Amino acid sequence: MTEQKKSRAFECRIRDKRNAKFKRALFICSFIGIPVLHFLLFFVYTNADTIFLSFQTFDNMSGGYKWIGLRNYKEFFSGFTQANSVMPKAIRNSIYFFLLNDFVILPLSFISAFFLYKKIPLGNAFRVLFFLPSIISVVILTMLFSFMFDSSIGVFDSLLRSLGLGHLISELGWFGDARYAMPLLLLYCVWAGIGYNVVLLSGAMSRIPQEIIESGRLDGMSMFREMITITLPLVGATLSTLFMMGITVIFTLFMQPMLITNGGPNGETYTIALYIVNSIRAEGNLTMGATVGILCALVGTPIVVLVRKVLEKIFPIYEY
Amino acid sequence: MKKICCILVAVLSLFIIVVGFAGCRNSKEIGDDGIVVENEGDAIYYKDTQNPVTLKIAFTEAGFGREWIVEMSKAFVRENKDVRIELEGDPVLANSLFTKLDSGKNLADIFIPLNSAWETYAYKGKIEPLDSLYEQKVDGEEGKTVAESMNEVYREYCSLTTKDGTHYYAFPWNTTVTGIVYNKKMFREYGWEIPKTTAELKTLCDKILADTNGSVKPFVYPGKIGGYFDYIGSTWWMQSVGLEGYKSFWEFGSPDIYDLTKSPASGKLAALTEFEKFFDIETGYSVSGSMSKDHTTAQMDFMRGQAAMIINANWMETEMKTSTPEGFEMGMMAIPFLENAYSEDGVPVQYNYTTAPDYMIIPSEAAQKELAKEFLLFSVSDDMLQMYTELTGSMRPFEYEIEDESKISDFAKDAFAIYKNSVSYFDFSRENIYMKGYAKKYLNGGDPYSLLVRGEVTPSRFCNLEYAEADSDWTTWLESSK
Repeated sequence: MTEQKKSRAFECRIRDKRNAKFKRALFICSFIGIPVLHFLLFFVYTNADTIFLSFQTFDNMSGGYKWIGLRNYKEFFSGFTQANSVMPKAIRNSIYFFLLNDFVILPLSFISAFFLYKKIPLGNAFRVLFFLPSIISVVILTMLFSFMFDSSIGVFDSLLRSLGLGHLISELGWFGDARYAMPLLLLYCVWAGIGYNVVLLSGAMSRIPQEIIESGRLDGMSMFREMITITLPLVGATLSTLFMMGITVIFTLFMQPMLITNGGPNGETYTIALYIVNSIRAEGNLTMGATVGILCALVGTPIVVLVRKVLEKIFPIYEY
Repeated sequence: MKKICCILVAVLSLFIIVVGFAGCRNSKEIGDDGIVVENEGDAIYYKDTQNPVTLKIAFTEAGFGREWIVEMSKAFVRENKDVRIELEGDPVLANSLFTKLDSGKNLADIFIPLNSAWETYAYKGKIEPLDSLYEQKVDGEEGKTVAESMNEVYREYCSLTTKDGTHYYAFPWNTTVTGIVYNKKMFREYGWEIPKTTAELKTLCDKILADTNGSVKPFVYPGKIGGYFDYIGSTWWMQSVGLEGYKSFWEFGSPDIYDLTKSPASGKLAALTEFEKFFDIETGYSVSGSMSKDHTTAQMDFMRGQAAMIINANWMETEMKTSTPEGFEMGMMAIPFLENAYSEDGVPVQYNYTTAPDYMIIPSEAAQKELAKEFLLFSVSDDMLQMYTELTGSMRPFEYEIEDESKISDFAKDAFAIYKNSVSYFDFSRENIYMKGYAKKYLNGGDPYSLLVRGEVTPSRFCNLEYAEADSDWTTWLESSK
């Protein structure tokens, strides 16, 4: 009897242990399940589908997609040689936007953030002014920017006329003239792009320990030296992140040219992303959109990985 | 100070919330006929009906507003008291439509989008065939069927051959009248005549500049959307080679359709040559800077009196309703005839290029397909067609007359007169080489108009480049589009 009881108790203990193990596994799975599902659905499935689509075309008669091998890729590259093709312009402009973001806007943002961090007079007001374009919808912002250069109601044309420089105004309108459209788009990106970076960099700068700065000051460190030798390396991680984000605009920026110039005049302000968007939206060409997307990933991924490695060397992460 | 800031932030937040909620519609109107309209048409039903059948209609709430569909729904419910109609207005319905059709989620029983490529979804079997609807008589047993009363080109457009055979899949919503919109008051004050030919238009342009010392330009460019220029370009092309010639282009038989020495490309060359005479920036006929505006600010320049004319369509009056200055009078004239315009029995044929067709479809997975078809049939009854024109100032491509012209604006009357006196046509082709995006209306990067405005190309060079491109790539295009 005692033996029976003992064995039953032992069985119960094993069962409880198994139950506990099962519950624990269920608990862990339920937590891991959501991100895994998310990953499978929005990364694995989406990317696999995009890869497959790039080798297919829509077949009207079967109502489905059919395999065409590398034809989409061939057509993409043959597009470069076509008369008046927008693709070379789109690639050129996307590189312009990257250069602007990483080599103009980012340094400007760093300098602006540094001066705000050093509490210059009216620093908070400047902070709001810098950040304001980042919290206004891009649609409104592009509209405001377009109005500034409008030939009838624009401030810029009125200013030129009042200065007696009316003859400089383009007959085609600033955004309709191939000479000015792209530079103006770049100007818009400077105007609207600094604020976001300034806020992130200001946040990073405010976390720099004061002791380091004070000890530097005791050694007679100038403000310029502080900016270069202390602030720059200590916010390096944030700068690296922003730099990386600047690279991705090569493949992602389309809203600004779409809303301000619609890619015109004559495709002069197209970007790679705008080309993809228009392929899908205007022409309904899902497979060509997928092809360009895959090509972007093929070109972009090694660049991003390489730049990240280089940045890690230039801006190592400091613990403070 | 901190306290004051907190109070200010609180007041501001409250203000934003109150203003935000003020935008929410929450109304319920009961008419004398017992028809209840909730939230300006979100739901329309008869007050005493228990357990009604719900018909969901998703429509484009853009230039033509929502009044027409609300009134149509009320009239339908009046005759079908067991039906409740739920309307969902979306200014960019075409953007989400195809995702809905693909997924089968959030489907309305009727979708009314602006022009977009519905054919792909018919091929996929996502759109309900409407053959039975097309066979029905419009107003009772007397008279014509829906198909017979419909404009021929729309009938062709709505039909498609898929793996299930040839069927009607779409139903026309709206037809457009394009032309030259002009400042009626200005024309009257200066005594300018409506030009009938391009030669008269040229004389008028010079007269406008002379009479106003250049302060008023003949035209304002329609903005950076090049598509507006095509209204005049395509009409001149049709005038040059006639409708049959123009249609032959859309058959995409061989690369010779781009050969400017022959019809139909000779018509394109004639149209572009005429276009250049009026719209090259060097002519000085257009408002400076208007090429880089968006279409509404360009239209505002016209309404502010900076120009006497603009290329536009019959939706412009409704589109600019809230911005129209007091006393402004808008008229619409047909595109003037080319010197050698195609004529029949010695009379030049007037064409109306109706741009892209807007349509209605019923998803194959819709819950109330038969009821949806009944609604579409009801929508083309004579009363509903007249009501549509009265409320929108626009037309539907069916046979009908406006019985009481006092109910429509002078602008709408002008547009209706152009529609009645013209042969209407829009571009479409079911040839694979076109549907796959290889052969296009304009090659060489598309849009010849803005190139011509800027003087970056001559009409003959543009056409020659097109022919060279088509001639070298045609075989590849044919192969790729199989």
